[in-house]
Amino acid sequence: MKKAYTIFKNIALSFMFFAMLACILSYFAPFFRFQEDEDVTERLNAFYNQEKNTCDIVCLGTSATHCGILPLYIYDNYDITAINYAVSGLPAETFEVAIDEILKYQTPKVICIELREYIRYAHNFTTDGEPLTEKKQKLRRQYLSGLVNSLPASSSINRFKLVTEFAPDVLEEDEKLIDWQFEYLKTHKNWKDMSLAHMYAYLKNTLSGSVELNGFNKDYKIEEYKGTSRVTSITPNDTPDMSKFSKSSAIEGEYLGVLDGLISKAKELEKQGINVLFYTIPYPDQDESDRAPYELFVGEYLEKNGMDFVSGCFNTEKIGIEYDMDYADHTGHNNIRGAKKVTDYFTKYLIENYGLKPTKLNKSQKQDWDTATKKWIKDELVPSEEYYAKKEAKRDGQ
Amino acid sequence: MNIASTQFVLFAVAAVALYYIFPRKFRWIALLFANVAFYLFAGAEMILYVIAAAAVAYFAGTAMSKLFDEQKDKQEGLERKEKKELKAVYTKKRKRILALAIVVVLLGLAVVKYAGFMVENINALLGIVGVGSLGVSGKQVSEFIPTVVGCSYFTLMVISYVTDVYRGKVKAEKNFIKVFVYLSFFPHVTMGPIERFDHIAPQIFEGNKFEFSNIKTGAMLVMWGFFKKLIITDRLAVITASIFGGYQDLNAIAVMFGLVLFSIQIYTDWTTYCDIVGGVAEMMGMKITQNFSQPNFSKTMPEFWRRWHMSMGAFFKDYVLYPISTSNFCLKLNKGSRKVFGKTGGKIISSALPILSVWFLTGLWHGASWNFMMWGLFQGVIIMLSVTFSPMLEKINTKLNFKTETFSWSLFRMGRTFFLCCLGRIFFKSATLTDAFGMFSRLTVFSGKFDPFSFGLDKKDLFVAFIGVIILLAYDIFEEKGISVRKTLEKQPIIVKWLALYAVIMFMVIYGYYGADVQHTTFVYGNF
Repeated sequence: MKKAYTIFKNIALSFMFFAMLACILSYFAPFFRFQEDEDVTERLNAFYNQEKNTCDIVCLGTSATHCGILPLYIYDNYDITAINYAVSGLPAETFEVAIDEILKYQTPKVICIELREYIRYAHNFTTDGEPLTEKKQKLRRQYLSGLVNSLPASSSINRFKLVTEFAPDVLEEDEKLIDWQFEYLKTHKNWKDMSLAHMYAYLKNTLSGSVELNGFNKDYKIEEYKGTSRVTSITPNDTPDMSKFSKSSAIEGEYLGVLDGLISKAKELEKQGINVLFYTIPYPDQDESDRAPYELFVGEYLEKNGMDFVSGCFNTEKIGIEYDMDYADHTGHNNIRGAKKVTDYFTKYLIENYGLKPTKLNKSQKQDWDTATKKWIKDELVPSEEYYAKKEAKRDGQ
Repeated sequence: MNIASTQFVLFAVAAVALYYIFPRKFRWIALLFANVAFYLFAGAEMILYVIAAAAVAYFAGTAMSKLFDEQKDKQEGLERKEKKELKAVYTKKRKRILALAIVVVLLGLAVVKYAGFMVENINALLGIVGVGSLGVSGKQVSEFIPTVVGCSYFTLMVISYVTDVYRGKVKAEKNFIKVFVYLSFFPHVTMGPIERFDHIAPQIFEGNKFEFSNIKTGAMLVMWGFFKKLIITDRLAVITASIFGGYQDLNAIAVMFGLVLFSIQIYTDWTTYCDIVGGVAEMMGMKITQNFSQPNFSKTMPEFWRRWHMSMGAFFKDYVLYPISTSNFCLKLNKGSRKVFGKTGGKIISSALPILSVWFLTGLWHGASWNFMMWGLFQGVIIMLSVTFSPMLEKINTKLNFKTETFSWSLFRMGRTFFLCCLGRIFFKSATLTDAFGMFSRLTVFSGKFDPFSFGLDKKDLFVAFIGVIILLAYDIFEEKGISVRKTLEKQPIIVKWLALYAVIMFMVIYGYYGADVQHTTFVYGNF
């Protein structure tokens, strides 16, 4: 009896020792991340620092969503709280894990899933598609790395899933999976750049209950704006001719399986009372032949499976997109001018189709949203509108 | 498989688990599987060499054992004089077997380790004489012959085993598999310690009871080994590689800086290995031979070599120095030289042969290079001088009334010994003799600037290495005073113990010199 007790005690203590060690390592891991890709981290920090279970709409997607959907604009105009979980170039294969991550922090009425990246790579992953170029491989690696390196310590399990499932496909020649899993291998040497102020801020945030800072978090404004875009510049683009696309191109095999996975996930969410909308944000190069037909296929396939899909690309007139004024660059990132239109269109769709009502917030939550909104309007929206007014006058005067 | 790697840690965990899964009586069989697996990781052909060495040890041991039994049987009923004659006959027979066994294993070692070196030197000699060359270079020969991990170490173990059997100190093992397990025991097979059969065999073959405290203290030792490697060794290796690789432009201070750091590096490098393998063995309830006993606190060179690589020192003392110094030739030399040169002179000359022979062979054992032989001779000369002049210096100290019991005097002697070791390491670390002498010459250059941060490590890394050395120094001071840090920690309340362990682990995780872009050093003594 005594022997059995000793054995049990030793096993239990050993387990506790390693469990506590894992917790300590996990807690300190994000602290060492040196944020090369500031945008990714600050956008995700906006999501993670948002009070739990306060957002009715969550938009999951890429930088197109980050730029195209304006949470504070929605709040200001529709009294509905929204937040983006949008990381640059996030591969669609990671969305199922991302949805798990979202549900850890929010219980939205609607999750909107952007399929731009899925459609963008469809051509490469179909049976007769071209293999990914080295540049595209590098980008996918960078995008996955951006997400993995920005997850907080409390997301260790989802981080583990992401790395185990997706990192093997994007490893560089000398790289090992353990370099991704055990991020200390890459990030611990950042201790040289640390200061006591960083350590203090890290501990303070953790002890105060907010989500621990990821890495050397500077005072990025985007967190104050709950991830709402500040992009104002204008890059004129040509208007794509979508009328030439009427026939869809099929997506098959393993890549279609990704969409099937998202559909299954969506059905699970619907059983939990969470509506799901698949969508795309309109982008200037959408008339490239390797995308539009796949978008048509995606729309048909989702409809066949009982899912809602709104194609931004094939509804640009309804949205009111002006290609010469509504984009900040040539890669489909809306400026505030274009984002307002996109946001209006999708929010109205959500209200009409899912019966969304103004979000009920308590006093402090309302104050938080009001403060952020006022600040964003004052510092970003109003100046941008003045800027656009001048540009429009100049354009129309011409 | 690098001992200081996660691979080895996982392997060791599996090996320890397997060890305890087997019933106590058969735990040595678990070691057999572990040893074979370890060697197979290194390359299947390596295991053939170990099997061959084990075969030599086994057959020689068995043959000598048979002769002992025969002698014992025939001795019964004989008179004393007849017994003596019989003993002489059988001793001669056993000696032949012993000699044959030693020649065979040394031949094997010579082929595996020294063939390239020998060909290179023969070619050089033929070139000098004007006869041409052997038609093949030393490098080509070296590349052709596979490297056998640990051959230098288990060759000495074979020699110690067969010699101990010959001397009757140890009974020959009748089970070939057990001889193989003894030689190929994975904690000591790559870099020692050079285990004596009578020390380790009972621990291996009797099977050890599971004690959780062994697991804990063993794991702590392994962790301490990794601490030294990650915090100190690999950092200092960056600087020493830079200094030894580019000494031509350096002044005396820079060279001395490099030598001091290399001395620390090689100490932490070697003790890291010993701690890791010692910890693994301890987890299986075994205590391997201690190889280091805070050698940097030595006050004389002989003392240093009694504390550094102790198993090698003991081997050469028992199997080289002792046989040479008690040989008829040496006894005659001693007698003759005392007659000619007096007591002191005679003593110097007669002790020179065994001491210099030991150190020449020690240098040769370290590597197939004239550097190592020079290093060995350097050590031998220093020890000879120490042995010769120590009595004289003691008399002078007494006459001058030096307070030799003071801490400052001890510190001076430690510093002096450390300095001599540093000088010797010029030969040890330099790539060639030319480089070694070149480095010596830089010790006379005092012009030029010295910037300690210009050798590949910045201030912060060097500072961390410095902190690591301070921690190591504190640890060694405790051990020197007979206080076992691990056992003391083990006795503390659980919260204190765990906090200390977590602090060390986090220190290693944060400040450790590792990562995708870090070049890890292989163990220096692994090259032997």
